[in-house]
Amino acid sequence: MDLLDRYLASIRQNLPAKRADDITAELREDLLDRVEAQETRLGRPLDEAETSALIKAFGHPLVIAGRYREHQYLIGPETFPFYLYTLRVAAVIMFAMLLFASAVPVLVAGGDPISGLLQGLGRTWGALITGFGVITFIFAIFERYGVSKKHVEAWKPAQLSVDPVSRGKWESPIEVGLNLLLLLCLVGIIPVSLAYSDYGIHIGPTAVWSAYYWPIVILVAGRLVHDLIQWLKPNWATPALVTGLGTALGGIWVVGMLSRNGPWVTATAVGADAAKATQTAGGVNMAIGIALTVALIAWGFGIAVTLYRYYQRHFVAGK
Amino acid sequence: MPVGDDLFDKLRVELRRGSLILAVLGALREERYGYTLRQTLEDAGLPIEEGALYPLLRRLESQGLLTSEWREDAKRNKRFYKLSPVGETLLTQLLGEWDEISASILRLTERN
Repeated sequence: MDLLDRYLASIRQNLPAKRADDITAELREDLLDRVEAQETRLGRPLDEAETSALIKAFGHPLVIAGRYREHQYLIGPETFPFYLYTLRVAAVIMFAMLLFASAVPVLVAGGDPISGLLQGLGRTWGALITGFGVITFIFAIFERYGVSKKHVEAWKPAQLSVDPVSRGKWESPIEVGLNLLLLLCLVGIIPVSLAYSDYGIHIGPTAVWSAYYWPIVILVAGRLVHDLIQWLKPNWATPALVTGLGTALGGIWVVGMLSRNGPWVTATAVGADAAKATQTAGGVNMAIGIALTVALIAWGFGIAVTLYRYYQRHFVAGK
Repeated sequence: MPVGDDLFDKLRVELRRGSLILAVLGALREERYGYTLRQTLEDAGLPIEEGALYPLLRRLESQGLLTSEWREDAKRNKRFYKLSPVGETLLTQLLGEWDEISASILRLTERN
């Protein structure tokens, strides 16, 4: 098979099947015309190097075959801005989620924070690649079916946020990501063990967590809804107020009940000093107690902030 | 080569690319096959990128602007293209559009 035949066979392999024969025949005729024209100019047949140069000037087989495809872009110029924005948000959320997930074992059970952080970064890298792959696949489908074009056509300037600068650019995505991570852990989609064993001590949760499981799940789900409203529908002031106040009050109730029903972990010695196990449990319980107190203050502050923002938007803005 | 020439070449290619469809439709008022069409465009000062002409012809044909048929010419089979009636109408409209664009550019670039 000569060089021209090999070239055309390479192109044909990547052409739409129904039209491959027809297209290849046409390209063959064009290339033979070019060869003929050059041979006429030179007064002799072309050698392999000259044929190779002519074919190279025509174009790479994949590039030539690609031009016959109906869709020329995986993600085209109309879709690309939305794709890029989604990638950036996903990167920040995944990075925040994985660093948080890496920090919790270090904070709770001790250990080297540097190696904990490096392990977290290692997991982040794999998760980022997987996440980016899924996002690219989804946006390739959007490109195929013109979703971005329809979204741009349906967009109304009135949907723009009334107050785009009051929240940081990444505040909402990170809140959504962290709440989503917590919810997925609570409902078991991301398996997490609340027990921890090391250095001959086994630490486990007390029954209070089971008693308040469903209120905690409902609270986290409600908070996720609130965060999604704040991020995606910033102009929905009343739903944001209702979900914000509702979850804050619910949070104060849950945290208050948990605070009154300690201890929250028990520790048993497994081949280690029982006194050390008691001391460890005491330390962890104290840390949880402090965290619950901080959470109570944070929820209370959250109510104040929510009311203040609502007041600013509805009674001060526009004066 | 100075930076200015690189930029000029890049922008010139973009400018010419935009007028290629009009050039191809105009050239196909007369029946031609791919090789002679490419030569005609080159002789008129509008060379087309290698390997780009045939996909363009197929696309215009699928849009109903061209018709084509295989015929023997000089003992070889060639696919001949010609403007369809719909293509003729569209070409007339595009030429009108071209004249308007040209007049607008002249008005915008006139020195007072």
